[in-house]
Amino acid sequence: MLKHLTNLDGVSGNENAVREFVLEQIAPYADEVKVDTMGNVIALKKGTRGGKNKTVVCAHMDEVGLIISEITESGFLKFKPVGGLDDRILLTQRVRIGENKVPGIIGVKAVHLQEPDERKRVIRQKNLYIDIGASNKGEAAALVKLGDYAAFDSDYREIGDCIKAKALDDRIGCMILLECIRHTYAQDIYFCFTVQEETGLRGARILAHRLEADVALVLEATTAADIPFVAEHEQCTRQGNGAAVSVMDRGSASDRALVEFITTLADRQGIRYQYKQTGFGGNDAGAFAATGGACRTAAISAPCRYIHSPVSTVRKSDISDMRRLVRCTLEHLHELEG
Amino acid sequence: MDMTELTGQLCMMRGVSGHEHRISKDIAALFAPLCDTVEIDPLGSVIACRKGTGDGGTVMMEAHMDEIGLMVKEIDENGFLYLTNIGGIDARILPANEVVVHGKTDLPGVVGAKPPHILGAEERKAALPLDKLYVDVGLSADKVREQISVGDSITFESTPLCLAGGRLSVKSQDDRSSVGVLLSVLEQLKHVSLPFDLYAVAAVQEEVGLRGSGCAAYRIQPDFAIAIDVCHGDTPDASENTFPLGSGAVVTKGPNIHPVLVQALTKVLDEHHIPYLIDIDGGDTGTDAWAIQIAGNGIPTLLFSLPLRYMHTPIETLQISDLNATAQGICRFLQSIERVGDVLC
Repeated sequence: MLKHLTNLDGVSGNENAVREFVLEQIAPYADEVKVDTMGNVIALKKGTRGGKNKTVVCAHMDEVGLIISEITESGFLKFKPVGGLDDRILLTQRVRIGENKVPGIIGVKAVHLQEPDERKRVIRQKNLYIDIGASNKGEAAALVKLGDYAAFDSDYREIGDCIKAKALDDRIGCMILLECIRHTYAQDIYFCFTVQEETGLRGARILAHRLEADVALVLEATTAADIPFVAEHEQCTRQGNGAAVSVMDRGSASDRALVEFITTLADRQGIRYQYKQTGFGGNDAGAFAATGGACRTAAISAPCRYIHSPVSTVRKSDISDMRRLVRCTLEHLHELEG
Repeated sequence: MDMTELTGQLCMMRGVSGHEHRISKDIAALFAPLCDTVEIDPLGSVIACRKGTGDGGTVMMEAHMDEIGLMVKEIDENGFLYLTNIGGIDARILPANEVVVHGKTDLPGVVGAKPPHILGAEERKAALPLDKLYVDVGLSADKVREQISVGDSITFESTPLCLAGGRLSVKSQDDRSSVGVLLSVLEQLKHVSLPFDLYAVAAVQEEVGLRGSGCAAYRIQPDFAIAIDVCHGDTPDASENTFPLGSGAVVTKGPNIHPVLVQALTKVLDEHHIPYLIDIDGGDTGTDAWAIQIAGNGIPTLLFSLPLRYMHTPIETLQISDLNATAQGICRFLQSIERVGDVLC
């Protein structure tokens, strides 16, 4: 399922393909399904005992990508980033553009044609262009429209003990939600699939307002910087050490009792977990925590190297740890103190 | 012969300079049905020959079969691989690219670097040099050491991608697409009798100093040679010294090129209405033509080039019609020759 989910293109603002798949998958298991004005999917799964805390578990459907902003006279496409993209990872990447998935490549002047000092500078995204093979503006305009979204063209494959794909942030969360909704829990749970997380937690904001939940559990992919040239204290999370439980990030401080509830369950069940060790990054928990009447939040994430790139990787053992921890948490949520 | 398919097949072979032994047998097998003899010389170059019908001399066509790539320089305690380049590579293109590490088996990997949020403001402005990059194969250090050794070669993972306008994007078109041109010429002339012996050479180690072609030329001692390589295609960030894709054949003039031969060549191209542009090079063409010209007692040399965008990257892009025009141009020229000596007078 992760292969199918990561091969779907859902750049923020254009999550249709992912949403259609999600709706199809949850239909047999949800008691009520609603799609709101921005495109968030809200599915209520009734529990056997109802529940004292109004509870949300969510993952975001969108991914970082590009949007076409100009077609040049010579038939090349200029673009803008959608979500946080490092200029340095764009050179020579392949993309697929618009509904027809027109193939394109992000070009760069050959090394032979560069001045020595040019090679030392990062090429800014505004100076990059996409080549779709068109020879002029007319040929390009026949294939691509302004405003078309472009997603990275990167297939799902195994690299060593890891999965490599685009959009692991956050199709991993989506996959685990889709798996979990198949089971019945004691607690009523809103399974939510949000839009536009990457452009500033936009979908979660209106969702939080609509649901006014007491407890929100966010499923994510988060930075693993356990790589060369990064000091140990800056590594955030480490691959192979299990699901990452957030204590705080840029947008929210997790509810202490909720975090303890999750880690106690993990200890009891022997599920491997780690704390996310820096305050970098943010996720939909920030929107839930600080919208309307406020809500208790926590996040469980898969440690992901090269996040926000076409070659993000997640270790398979971490995915299974995360899957077990989330499932176990949902099964016991009714025991959480109000 | 479908040139898109053939070029894709050739470009998916994996042999960086000095490691062509991985692919020389496969390349020799492509030449075998079109030639009388095929041999692999001591450096690894593939030398194929079809015999002529008379004593009309010897002509050599040449393209190089090696590709640029990387090599494992060091394996650290966590199993990350540090890199050195083989041939010219802009290190800026490497982050987030996929590669294949040629260890005991072929292992997929990705090129990693320090993520942006950990970099200081100054660090973000500077491009990452090769010694700040590494390859991650997703395995524990023990498993990495079982499979991979210092000195193993690394190639770009890149599968053929068809773009609009009959354009093809894939690694290693420099210069395997020209190897495809050699095969196309031989196939088109398969049932045409030529008075001279025609050699086709897929040479090694061009990217590290034009090494294989000179040795092959020395061995063959042709009356003249035609080298085929790539030139730069036009892009928004590079206008000088570039050629539009779709130009047809590109024919070089300058000190590297025999003046009488090139005159005879352009005359034939004009007669047959084959589209071409002239590339002027004031000295070193940076191609095997430069080495072939001074092999042995000296060899009159011609150079065809294929306009190629994004040279030395995983997305090298050219237009298939340019390959066809080049192959056709070479065929017509060879067919116009009755005695090799006459062309040179």
